[in-house]
Amino acid sequence: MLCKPCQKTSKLNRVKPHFINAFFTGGGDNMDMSMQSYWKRNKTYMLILLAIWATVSYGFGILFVEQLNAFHLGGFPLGFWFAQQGSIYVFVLIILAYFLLMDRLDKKYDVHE
Amino acid sequence: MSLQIWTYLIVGATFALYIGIAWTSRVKDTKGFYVAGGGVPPLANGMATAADWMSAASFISMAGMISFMGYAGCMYLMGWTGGYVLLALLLAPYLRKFGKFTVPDFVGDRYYSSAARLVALICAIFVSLTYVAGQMRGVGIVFSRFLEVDVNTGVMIGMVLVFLYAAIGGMKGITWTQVAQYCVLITAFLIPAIAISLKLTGNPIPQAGFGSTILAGADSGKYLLETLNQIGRDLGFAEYTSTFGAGTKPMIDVFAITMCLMVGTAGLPHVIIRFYTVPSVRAARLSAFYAILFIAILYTTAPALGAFSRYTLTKALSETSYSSVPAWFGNWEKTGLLAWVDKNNDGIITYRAGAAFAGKPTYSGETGAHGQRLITNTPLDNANELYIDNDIMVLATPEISQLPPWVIALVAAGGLAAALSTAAGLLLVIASSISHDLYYRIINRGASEKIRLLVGRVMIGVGVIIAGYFGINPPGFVAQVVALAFGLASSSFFPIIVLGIFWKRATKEGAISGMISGIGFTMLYIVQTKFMGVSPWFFGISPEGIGTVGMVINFAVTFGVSMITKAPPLAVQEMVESVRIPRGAGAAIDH
Repeated sequence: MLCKPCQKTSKLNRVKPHFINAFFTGGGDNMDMSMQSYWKRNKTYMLILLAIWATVSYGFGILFVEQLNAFHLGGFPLGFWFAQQGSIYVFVLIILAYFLLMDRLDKKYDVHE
Repeated sequence: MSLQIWTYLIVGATFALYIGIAWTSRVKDTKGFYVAGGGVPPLANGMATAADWMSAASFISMAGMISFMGYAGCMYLMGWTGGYVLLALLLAPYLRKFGKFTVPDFVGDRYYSSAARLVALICAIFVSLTYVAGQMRGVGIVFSRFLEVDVNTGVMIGMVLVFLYAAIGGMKGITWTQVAQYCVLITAFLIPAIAISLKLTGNPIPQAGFGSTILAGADSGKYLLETLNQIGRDLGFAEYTSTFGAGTKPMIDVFAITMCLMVGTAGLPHVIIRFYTVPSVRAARLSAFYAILFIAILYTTAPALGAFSRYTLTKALSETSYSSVPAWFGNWEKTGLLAWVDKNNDGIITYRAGAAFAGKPTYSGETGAHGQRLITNTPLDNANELYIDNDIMVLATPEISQLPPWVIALVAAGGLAAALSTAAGLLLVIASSISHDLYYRIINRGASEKIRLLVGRVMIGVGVIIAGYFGINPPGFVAQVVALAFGLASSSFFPIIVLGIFWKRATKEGAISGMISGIGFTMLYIVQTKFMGVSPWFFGISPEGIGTVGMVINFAVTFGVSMITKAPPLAVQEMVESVRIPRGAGAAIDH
């Protein structure tokens, strides 16, 4: 679901092996065009995942814990569960998602090793 | 076989294993010594990172602290895991691509200045020394209880062992020892937790048993957490799952401490340095995933264990007459982690909220009417007669739950694995900071490989001696000391590394003034509130959470000063662009 917009950049995905050489000639912010869009996409992934990170931990676990505690998950008040269990499971998933997304992005922009 | 023999056997076997691993992976060059040659597979690095990371505080103290704090214990749980999200997304891949040996290396090169390198170096040593002191104290506690040797002798044995395998094997030896130590510590943590969960709730998965009903006894059929809330109400404690109210920390403090621990985790040099040891940027991302996975296994079990042991301990002791308490009570009284003062002279243990007396127990050496060890502390004016140290929960729970002696011996080995693996990682940071960043990069640029390796090994020795000194003269209890290291790490490294990667305009003047003002404010606040008796004046935030404010100050100062100083040279901007692209990480390592 995250990768739909990136299809339009796919034409740009060829990159010079030594893109750094394009430093002085390259477009925009001193970066090769496709590297710029690679970096932008990386930052988008990061921001979305960091938003999830902040929501489950600071949001569900701390700021809204009392409201969520009105609901129950088995013997757990829901807010308490997020604070002591749920947020940690989500952290594991976030890091896995970032690894998988970036692995695909690296290949697409041909910057993988 | 007796507990004593089991303990000597299991602890001895694990020690022999660690030394054996270090000997087979001994190193001859600085690259092997500092970053294990840069060739550690992601799965192994994930395990090593987990062991490096999970210290005596995680293994011994954390479940106990949570069991007394209830909900607010979440700040340790989320704080010490959530930092890996920051590390995986914001730091690890880029630092790996940069590919040098240490954190001051990155700071020095990115901020094109020896002064920045020196400031980073001092911060790294300071943070690591604060942290390593806590580990040695953990080693001492385990030795004194389980091997019945004097705490000081225990610390000495730990010192010799860490010195041997860290100096022989360098980072390479430490890495593979940590892999073994992870296996030991996670087994040692899980077996008792599973056994207790099964016994108490009938569910073998502690994470699920935590939310299940109690199997037998007076509370059978009731949810464990609800029963704990009920016990809290009966004995005058806050309810276990209650959030921010009387007797618990306010929301802003929980928020600040959680953030400080997260950011501090991401800024700790001994954690960051682990990502220099993998072969590629992809491997750095993958090993961050393995690391959080392996850490999460312990961190989701710990709160369950905390709740189980709170229930078991309260049931075993509250309203029990001293003459009929189980034998383990006496064993733990000897270590000073458990004490009873019979305020109303009825011979029955009254357990209520509040401290029974001020400070830690000091024994008069005499025994009272009921055979209890008398203490010289003045009892405080409340009904509570029981002193329970946080550290007892993990260490004593297997005994309290009547698990077989080999499980108890395994817990001793696990506690030692946790403390030693972290201590070794920290000592390597201290040694590489001094021998690489200070001696080689600043003092003697022409030093030969051999000399640098020797300096590194000598520095491990010096670090061990300092750490041992703190272990013998402990500055506080394990987790509290460790918590301070996080404040210092979050207010120094994290902001300038993140800005260094994501903002090309960040300048050396900005970074140096940012680091100094961030760590300066944090230190000042901690010294004021911890040692000078000033009450926490910044919105009531406790010293453990003040690193969050220090971090914001660091970000703001670095940003402000960078804007009014000359932009970094083109070569540096070019370097920042190159760390953003994964390709070529393998070749990036050289000196």
